[in-house]
Amino acid sequence: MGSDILSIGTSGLAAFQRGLSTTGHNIANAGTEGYSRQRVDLNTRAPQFAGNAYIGKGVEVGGVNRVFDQFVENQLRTATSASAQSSVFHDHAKRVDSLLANADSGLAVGLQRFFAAAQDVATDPTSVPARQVMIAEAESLTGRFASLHEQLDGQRTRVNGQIETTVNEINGIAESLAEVNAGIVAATGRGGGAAPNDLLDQRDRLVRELAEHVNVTTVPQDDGALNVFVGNGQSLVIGSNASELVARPLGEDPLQVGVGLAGSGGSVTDIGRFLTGGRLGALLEVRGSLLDRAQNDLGLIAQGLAREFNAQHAEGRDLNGEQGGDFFRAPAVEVRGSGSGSLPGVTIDDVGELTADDYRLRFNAGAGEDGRWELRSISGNRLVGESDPGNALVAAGLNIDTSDLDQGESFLIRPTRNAAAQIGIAIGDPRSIAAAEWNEDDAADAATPIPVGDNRNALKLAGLQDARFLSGGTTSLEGSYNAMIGEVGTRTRQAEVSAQAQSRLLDEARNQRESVSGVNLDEEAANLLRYQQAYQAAAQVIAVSGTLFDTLLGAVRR
Amino acid sequence: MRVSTTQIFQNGVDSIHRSQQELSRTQQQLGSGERILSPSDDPSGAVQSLQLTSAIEKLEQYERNSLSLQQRLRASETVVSSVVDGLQRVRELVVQGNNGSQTNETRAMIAGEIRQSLDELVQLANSQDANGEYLFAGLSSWTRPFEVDADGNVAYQGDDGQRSVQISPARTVPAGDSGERVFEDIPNGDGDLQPLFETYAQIVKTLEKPVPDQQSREDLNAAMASGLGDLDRALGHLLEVRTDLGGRMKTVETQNRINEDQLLQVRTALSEIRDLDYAEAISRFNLQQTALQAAQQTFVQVQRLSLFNFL
Repeated sequence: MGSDILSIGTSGLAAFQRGLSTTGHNIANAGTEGYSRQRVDLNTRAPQFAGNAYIGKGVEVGGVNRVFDQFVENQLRTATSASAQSSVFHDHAKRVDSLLANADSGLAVGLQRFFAAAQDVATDPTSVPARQVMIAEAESLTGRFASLHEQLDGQRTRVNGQIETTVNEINGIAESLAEVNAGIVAATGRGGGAAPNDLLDQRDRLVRELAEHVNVTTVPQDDGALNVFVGNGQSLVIGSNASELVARPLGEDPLQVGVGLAGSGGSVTDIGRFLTGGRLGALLEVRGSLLDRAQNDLGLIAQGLAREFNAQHAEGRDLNGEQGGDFFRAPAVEVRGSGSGSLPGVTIDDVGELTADDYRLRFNAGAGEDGRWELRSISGNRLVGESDPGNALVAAGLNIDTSDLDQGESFLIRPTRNAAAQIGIAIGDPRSIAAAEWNEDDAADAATPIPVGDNRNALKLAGLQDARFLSGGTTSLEGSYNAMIGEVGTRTRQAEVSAQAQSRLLDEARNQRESVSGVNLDEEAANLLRYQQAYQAAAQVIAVSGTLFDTLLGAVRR
Repeated sequence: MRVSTTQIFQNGVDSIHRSQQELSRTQQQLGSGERILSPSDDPSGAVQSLQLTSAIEKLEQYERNSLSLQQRLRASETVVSSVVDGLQRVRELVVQGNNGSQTNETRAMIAGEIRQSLDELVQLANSQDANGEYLFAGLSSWTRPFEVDADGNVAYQGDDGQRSVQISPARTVPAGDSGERVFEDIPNGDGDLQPLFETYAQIVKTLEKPVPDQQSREDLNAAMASGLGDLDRALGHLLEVRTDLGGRMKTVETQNRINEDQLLQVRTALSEIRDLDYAEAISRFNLQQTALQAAQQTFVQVQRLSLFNFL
């Protein structure tokens, strides 16, 4: 009987000691990222039947569990991915946005000044200084094209660098996850099913960190392990094994860093297009839909300006009586092959038909009688033109020579990507600006004086400022640039709104998690008090059981 | 809802952070005086402001074009006026030369003065502007338009082109007239075209001829009468040219006023779109400042509260 009280008291001491240490653990981890508060579950011990009644036998510790809600955790993970994605995208969009509209480096001022100088030549065609100013303004305009392109390129380099860093971080996290998985499986086995709370917290934190880098899906296993997948089902962590992602050029373009999944035997599968969400998803999207698009739009304006201006210039006559030569150095079309065979010759057939798209040229053996060369746009994979083998393929403003091509190869054709970097000045002598109208007969007749005061062609050149000759005759140079600014501005605005919304959602999800699993120090202080008092009481029980025993001994001795 | 200690701390920090962001944005706006700091603040407003800036540049360009055009028109008008003055003096001399009291000697003197007028006329017709361009050479403006050969005949070397200057998107105005139109395409009594130089030369030749008898006096009278007719027609033609030049100057002036009005409108529109409403921005700034202070104060107050203080 006395020993019963003693054992009940001891069970209380042990239980409340566990309670105190768990409270201490909670307090100690109040600042630990990803920590879930723990709770001691106390159970009543099985009672003992004593003839006519069940006698209580004290308390036992049922387990120490973390207070955790998987649903809340999943929400937090999704919100983390989305928020990282939209905030990284917004950061980059903002940079492109302010770059393009900056009055000092933007294109608008350059275009205005160049055409104003052309107007001055039209007003005063014999003035060599006016012509010099026009060439100087043309140089400054091509300089602006080049500098904008260069800055976009610089941002692309940074994005590529960040893709590599992010992929490395993902690999690091995946390896840690595999290790923690192994630890959890072992601990669960050792503990006979008891949950290793702190390891689970650590794993949840790693998965959340991973979600910040890229969208992930997880599948829990019976043995306690968690399998992690990226993209549309590519396995990153299976049990205690982690796969490796690689970041390196995977296509024709040696400067475009792709993301692949390393398979057995050194093979790499390009999974870049499946990856969404998180920093990596944002970086891939920034490059594809923001930087590529901006450089192509800019390149389209450069191609348009160079080719249309040159065409009009060739219809004029310069101060020396010669027919107008090239004013601008027109950018070439970029062509890259998948293999080492000869590349198709690509020229621009009609600059008005040109678009800001990139294209892929591929042989389709199944089409037509002997197969056909097909030109498809990269965005949307739309068929824009085809030709029989050996024939020229004319489509989208391009003329592509398909003779002497290896039919097993495919070709990447980018008419506008680097055009803004390539546009230059072909004319050097101010007297060579063809302000007068070209007239075959007058030019052939040496006796006719050169019409130096003729400004008819200069007026037409100056008129190109407002002429709608781009995109099938629907827009002007300035209009194109304004549209580009408007689009980047709108996308940035959307990104900003979505970044704000996602950050609110993330705050909300964090609050939810904190609300369930976070440590409240006041609550722990109260628990401390509670367990301390209970511990003191249990100690008192032991003291009483001692007194009872003494009482009994004293009675017997008498 | 249960609130964790981290949450209380984080929420406090977050609200301070948000207030600071808003405050910093307003500060930037106040510093630059512009409402739109980057196109994403107002994409359509940003594009509009680009379009308006471009419109301003173009209107200013048209103003520059008009200025240079007016200079050229004024130069042409001055020359034509001088020619008209000369022509009136020649007309007086012809009337004087036809007077019966004149002797062969006095007529030869009058002929000499008219010959000088002819030289002056050729000089005027070969006038250059400040840039050294010939005003009346058509498009071949570096070619001296009127050359006099050994026999005293004047030949036109220029062409019949006209340079046009743009003064509005839809309007170009010819900056000058060819020498052919001004000095050569003048109708004479027979309905043919006769250059003014030839009219002068014929009069000189007639006056230099001695008048020995009645027959030659009658010939002289007839020739002088036809010469006077030619001079009057030339005067009419030149006045027409001058009126035409004046009309063009008037057109340019009118267009200039229109351009200036437009410039003012566009500038106002641009300011409305781009510029900051200072009164609104400053009161917003004050409000945000108060919000930040409140966030900071509550943060400190709440952080002081802990049950541990009482254990």
